[in-house]
Amino acid sequence: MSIITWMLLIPLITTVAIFISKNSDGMARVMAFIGSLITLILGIYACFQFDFTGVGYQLGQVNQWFPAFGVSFAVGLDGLSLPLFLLTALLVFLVVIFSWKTEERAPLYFSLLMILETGVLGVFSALDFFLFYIFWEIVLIPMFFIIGIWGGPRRSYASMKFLIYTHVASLIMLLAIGAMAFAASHLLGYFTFSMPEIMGAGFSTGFQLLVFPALLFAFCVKLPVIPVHTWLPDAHVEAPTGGSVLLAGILLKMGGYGLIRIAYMMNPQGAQAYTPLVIILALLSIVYGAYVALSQDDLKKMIAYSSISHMGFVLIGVASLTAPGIKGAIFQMVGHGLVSAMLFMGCGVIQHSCGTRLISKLSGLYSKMPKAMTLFVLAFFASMGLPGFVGFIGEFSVLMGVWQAFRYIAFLVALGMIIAVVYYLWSFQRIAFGETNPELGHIHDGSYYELVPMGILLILSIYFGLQPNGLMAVFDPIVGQILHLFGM
Amino acid sequence: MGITPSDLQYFAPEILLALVAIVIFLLPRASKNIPMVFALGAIGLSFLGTVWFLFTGANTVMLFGSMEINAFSELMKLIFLVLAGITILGSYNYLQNLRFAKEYISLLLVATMGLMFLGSAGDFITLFVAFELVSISTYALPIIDQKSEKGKEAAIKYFVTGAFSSALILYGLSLLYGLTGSVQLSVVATVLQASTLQPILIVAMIFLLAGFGYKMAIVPFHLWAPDAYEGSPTPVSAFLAGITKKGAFVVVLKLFLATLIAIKLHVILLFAIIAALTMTIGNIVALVQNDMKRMLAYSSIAHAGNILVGLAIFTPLAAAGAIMHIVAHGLMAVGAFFGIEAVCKKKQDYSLQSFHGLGKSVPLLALGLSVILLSLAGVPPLLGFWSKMVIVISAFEVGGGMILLALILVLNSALSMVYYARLIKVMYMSPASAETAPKAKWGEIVSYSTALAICVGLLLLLGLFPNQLFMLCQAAVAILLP
Repeated sequence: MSIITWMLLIPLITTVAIFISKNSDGMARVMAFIGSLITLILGIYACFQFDFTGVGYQLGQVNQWFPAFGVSFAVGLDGLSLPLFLLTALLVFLVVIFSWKTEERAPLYFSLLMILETGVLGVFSALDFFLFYIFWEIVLIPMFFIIGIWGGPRRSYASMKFLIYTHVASLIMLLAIGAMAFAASHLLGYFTFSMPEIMGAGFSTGFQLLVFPALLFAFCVKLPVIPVHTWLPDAHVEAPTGGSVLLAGILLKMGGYGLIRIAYMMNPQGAQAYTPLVIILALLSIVYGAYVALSQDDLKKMIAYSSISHMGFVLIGVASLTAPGIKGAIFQMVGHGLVSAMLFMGCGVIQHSCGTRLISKLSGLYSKMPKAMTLFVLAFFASMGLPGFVGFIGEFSVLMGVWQAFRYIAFLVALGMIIAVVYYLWSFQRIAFGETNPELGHIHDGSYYELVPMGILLILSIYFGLQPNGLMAVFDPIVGQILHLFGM
Repeated sequence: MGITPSDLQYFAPEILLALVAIVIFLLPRASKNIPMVFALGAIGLSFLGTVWFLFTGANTVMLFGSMEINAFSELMKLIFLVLAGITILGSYNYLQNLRFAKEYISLLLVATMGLMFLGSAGDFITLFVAFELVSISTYALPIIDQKSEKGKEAAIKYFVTGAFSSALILYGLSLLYGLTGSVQLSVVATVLQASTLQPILIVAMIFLLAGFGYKMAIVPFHLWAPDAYEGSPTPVSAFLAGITKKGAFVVVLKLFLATLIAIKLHVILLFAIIAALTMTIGNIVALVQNDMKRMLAYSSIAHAGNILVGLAIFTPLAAAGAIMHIVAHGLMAVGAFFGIEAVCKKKQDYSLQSFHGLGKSVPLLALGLSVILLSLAGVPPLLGFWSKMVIVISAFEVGGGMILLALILVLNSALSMVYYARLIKVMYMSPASAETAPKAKWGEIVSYSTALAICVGLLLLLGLFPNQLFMLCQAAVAILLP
């Protein structure tokens, strides 16, 4: 069995172990810790096995699963999926630590986290369309429960909205998958759902023009892109901190991954034809998302809208179809995964010790919780694209790509970055300085299990901000492959 | 082409069921468990026999073409035997306080036998007799507990529509006979293929569609179903919604797809329209139901629409998907009805409120029910997902308007997610105090939970390893659509 298969299996085995361990909170969190740690270690080991200069899928495994219907169990990684795959293993591990003191129905919470990990790892490694779709759908169910059981006051509404919204999008994707499989079977002469084989089929332009919008819709809901973003603020605001971290950190990346891997790489002509639409959507997300973030009073909602704005960079970076643009987009996905996780953890710490996240009620926190606020402000810097942090590299690279491809549109993209500086600094000034609001009562600093995951993420985002070359080089083969598909 | 002793062996499963049903009728009234043991034993043996015939590739025509044994008939028998076995097993708790326990069991056995004959029937007469065997033996089931007022209403509704639709079917069949001069399905198919389209054929088709439409409970012939399923005792609802209804689909597969292939285009158009209506109306009405049995009734109407989509697309792949969905929905409906009964039996309150807090108070039951509901909604990797997806994917083989139909199916699937997820949400996320949360005494619900567990297990197993079932469905379709 491939190492990937093991990484998919271990969280599931952990889930079973948690179920057997008879409702003991302590056992559940220790097992989740061990399970996610083993998965992370295996992921790092897979990195050492990986040939970073090679083109195509590595560490793969293909088994027959449902041969009568052309479905197989096929997994593998390449330069696009490996960073996201590792990011998933890392974030789930950190979320397990961060949620260490979860008291309400802890065994259920940790087993849902583990199922979620299998689902997301599967999405990033599946090489068969049906396998991809199955993992894609599996991700929804644990997140639905996490929002619905441990969420805030409006959790019931938010969890249903999340489930239905994203479920509709995945069903539209399924229709597109069916269409592509049949079109490919005419071109290839045999019926298959294998993603590399379908990618090699070479669809006619007319067909691509029909399929690309369906895929664009499906992935834009997940990314999310304005105007199909409305599930995200609700889900984020209501979700518990662990849920928000995973939602922003890895679930949104599924949209970006699908966009590149399926929508763009399989339908190059279709993608080129729809470039104006994609640019408009991306600019809407970047500028409008940032603008709405400016006016939020709830800290978490502000970060949710900033996520939308940052995901707009991914969309426009891919749409630019230039080497720096695409590289920047993938880099931005990884960077945003690290930084947004840190931001939501910071929000969780504030919520935990102050009992509220409303900016208007928070003030003077810096003197009361210096460690947490230091980490939080550094996360703000990382997210607003300050040089030296991971966010800057991705956004600047995207900006270069956009300048190469579309020239002056780059100014609008940069506008998003400028507004980000405004809303981050302004909100930080309001919550960190001034007199402490007496209504908040006793405020304590974050606990070690909350601060350590944030610290690890901070170290990584500074490391990749100062040493981006190593990670950028990982994308070289896949970016070359994408540009080749587009004839550039 | 007469019958020889060696041919008779193929009917050993049915004959065994008939004999055991008679024996059970003759048992003393006080016996509750012996009929059950007999029935389960008979079903088990029949199951083994059918499996044997299926996998040794038995293929023969006998009794002057009125009976056929082939991959299709044996697969159908297998499906019905498994579902009936689960239902009988699950009824154990229900029978403890039931006066007519042995009648209940033997009626179920006779109905199962009728369903098995449906799979084999090769001419109109056998088809009709088998179908009536199923209908007549199930007419009494909703009122098997004579104290139940709702049961009376359900029984009357079920009986009147059933009898009426049988008349429609018979009239349609007689028209076909008049047109072709034969009652044998294969001969009718050949004659119709050679002749031109005649108005009388359309009339016959409409009669048959209306007749079977009632039995399948598809829109606009569905109005009896929610009342009958809601009023019947829940094990009976499971049998009616999960099993007898599927008998009508078997006939439609045989009659419309294999025999009326000459008027294929008209059938397709009609099926497509009815399927779209059935799914949409079923799901929309299910959205507003507060009674869970009624919600399941509408959900099974919507699922009938899904199966019909497979028949409308009309390719071997789609028909295999439809058969797969028959299996899937059979398991899901039976499992769901028994699961709901396990929760609501004590209070006799089937509303959404009685599920509050189930996830905490009886976690295993909530988990099993959630798996069934997710499968109904088509979430992978459960069987309900695969069957729906095979149907959706097969639409692209035909293209054109069928893609629109697949889109309608997919959007309906998303719509149905709303009410399935609502029940899951209530079970896990709605707070309930210790008094109001549903409690379970295992002794009282052990058989319901067992039936639920078997259905969940099969849905998971067949969902993770769908290949074998799909190949059986394909082989069955290859017989129907050569």
